[in-house]
Formats: sequence, C-alpha cells, structure tokens
Amino acid sequence: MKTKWKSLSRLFPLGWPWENELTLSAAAIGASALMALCLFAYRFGKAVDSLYDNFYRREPVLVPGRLMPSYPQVLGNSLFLFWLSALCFILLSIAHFLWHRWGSRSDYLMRRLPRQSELWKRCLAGSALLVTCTVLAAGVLFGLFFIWYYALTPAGHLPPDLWAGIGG
Amino acid sequence: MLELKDVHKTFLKGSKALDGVNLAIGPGEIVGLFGENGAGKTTLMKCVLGLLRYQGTITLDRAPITPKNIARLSFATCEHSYFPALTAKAHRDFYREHFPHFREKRFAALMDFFQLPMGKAIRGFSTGQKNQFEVILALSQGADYILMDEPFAGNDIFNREDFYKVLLGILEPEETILLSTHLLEEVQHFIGRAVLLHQGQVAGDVTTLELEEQGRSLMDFVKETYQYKADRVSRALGELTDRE
Repeated sequence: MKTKWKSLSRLFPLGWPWENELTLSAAAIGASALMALCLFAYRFGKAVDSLYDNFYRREPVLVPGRLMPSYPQVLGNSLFLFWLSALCFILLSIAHFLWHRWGSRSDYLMRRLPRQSELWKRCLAGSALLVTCTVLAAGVLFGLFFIWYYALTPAGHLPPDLWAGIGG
Repeated sequence: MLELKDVHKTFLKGSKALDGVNLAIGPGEIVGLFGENGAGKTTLMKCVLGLLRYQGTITLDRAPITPKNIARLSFATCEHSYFPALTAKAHRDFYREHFPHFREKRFAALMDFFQLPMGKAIRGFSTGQKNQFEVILALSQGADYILMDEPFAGNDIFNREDFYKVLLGILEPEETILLSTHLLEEVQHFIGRAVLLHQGQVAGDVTTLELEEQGRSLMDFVKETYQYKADRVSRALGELTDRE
C-alpha cells in the first residue's frame, strides 16, 4: 500500500511537495462536497416549501397542482466549488512546469531524457488525476442529489420534465 | 562524430546567435569553445541538445539527434539542470532509471572525492558544491559527448584545478568533451583543440599541438583571431585624461 502511494510521486515533478498537494486537493474536494450539500439542501428545502400553503394555517398543506422546479433548477450552482477546484487543478499544471525553472533549469534535463514524455507526464498527470477525482466526486453528488430530489419530493408534485433547463 | 553543418539560429527579436556554423568533433577529443559574451557558445550547445530550434543540420554519427540517441549527449550548465529539492541519492536513482549507461561507480567515486553528501538536498549545497554536482551528473550519465557550459563559474581556483585533474584521470578514450569557458589560460593544458566563436561564426579552429609547434599560446591565438588591440586601453585612458 505504501509503495503504491509512493508511486503517485511519479505523476508529479521531481522534488515537488506532491503529498501536500494531494492533501490540500482532498480538502478542497471535501469542502466542495460540503458546500454542495449545504446549498442543495437549502435550495431543495425552499423548493419543497413552495409546494405548501401555510398562510393563515397552523399545519402547512400541500397545494394540489403546484409542481417542483426541474432538477437542474433546484441544483442551480450547488456544484460550483467543484468547477472552481477543477480550474485550480488545471492551473496547477502550469505551476508544475514552472517548478522546473525554479532555482535551476531542470527542464533542460527533462527535455533531453530518452523518454521525451517524462516532462509532460510529470506536469500534467497529477493535475489530470485531480481533475478526474473532482469530476467524479461532482458526478457522484449529482446522482445522489437526484435520488434525494426524486425520492423526497412529495408524490404527485414532480414536474413532467425533470431535466428541463439543461442546456439553457 | 558530432557534426554541425551550416547551423543558423535567429532569435525572435531578429538577433543572429549562430550564423552558419560548421564544426565536426570526433570521439575522444577535448575541445575548448571560446568566444566573447554573446558569441553564441551557449546557443550552439543548446541547439546540439535540441533545447533550441535551429536551421541547418546537426548529426551524431550521421544520425539526427532524437530520443533514440540523445542519451549519448550530456550537459553541465552554469544555469544548473539538477533538481534543487532532491538529494544526490534521488538524482542517482533518477539518472539510473532514465540513462541506460549511467556510470554508478564513477558517480560514487566523484561524490566521494569532492566529499559531497548523498542525503542532503542540493539547494543546501554551497555554490561550488552545486557546480561540482552538476558536472558529476554530466560525467556520470554515461554519455559519449559531454557538453559543459561555464561549469566552473563560481568555483575557486583550487577547486577548478582539482576538476581538470580528475577529468583527465577518469575520461575514457572514446569520451568527448566540449567545454565552453572564459578561463583560457587555465584550460589550455587540458584541452586538445580550441574553437573560437565570434558573432555566431567559427572564427578559429586549432589544435593545441599546432599551437605548440608554432610556439604560440592559446591566448596569443585568441588575441590574433579577434584582432585584439593591446593598446586600446591606454589610448582610451589617454583620451580621457586629455579631455580632463
């Protein structure tokens, strides 16, 4: 297990603090997930509330014919921190490249290796891994939120087109 | 044989760094590459290594320099090409993985000779030690052609002397050195051939044996080739004094 973990270092520039990068990235993905959860819970709750009429009444009552907004409308920008994180991870590849010019010109060595892909692998692979993890985490939450939306919306109040609003 | 035929290099701003360089360096030669600042020494080496684009032809044993034969060339530069955050041991492991003919014994012997620590990050080395390490890597890579660009900048005279001696002692007959430096007098007994660059062109090319036969020193040859005017300083000073 330890060897497998260490082998991840091959995806990052030599000497780069890759373990710190992975730790911080995991924290960023975790914070994105937490933020997404809070935002979605808030937006979903508000959408469900709009189905009830509690004006002048002690107990809120579901109003027949009122429909939930479509899933993309409820989801809104809940996942935006994921996209922001992904953008940062893409930009990290530039930092990975500049690392080879910090304090020395190790890019000279990397560019004259028999395995020419080594420099680009070490600049891009780590970022690609993190972007993939971010997109996967966002995808999993997208699915879970949909299940939440579908299962917890009061029966008979789902809109006819659950996906209305996708693609503008 | 490392051959350069009609090599031109023009930078984006239009300045010509190399202007039709023709040069052939055979196996086992120790060649000094001299020239004023901006003569094109560093550019020439970077073109050979494929670090810069150029016009013309550069071949190694008649084959273009590609990933297939690039390991036959090594490079020690005053800009340094090691990884400052890595230890010498980590560099050794990396070189061993990427260069099939890495000379582990030579690496260990040179590290030992210069008393460089194996487990310390290179950024913690002194300037002299960093230069030594850069050269050690170039010598240990297992290359046939070792290109050195001002490798001793910042090293003291004793250090440099040690290096010349060590170099002469460890080089194998087929190993070739192309050494760019301003330290003419220091290297004249170490090199076998001197190539002079001037404004991107080969202005002179002579073996030290030829110089010996002609009874000339390397410095004389360089001054003659550059048409150095020995009295220019005294004339300039005289003019300045007259004005005052």
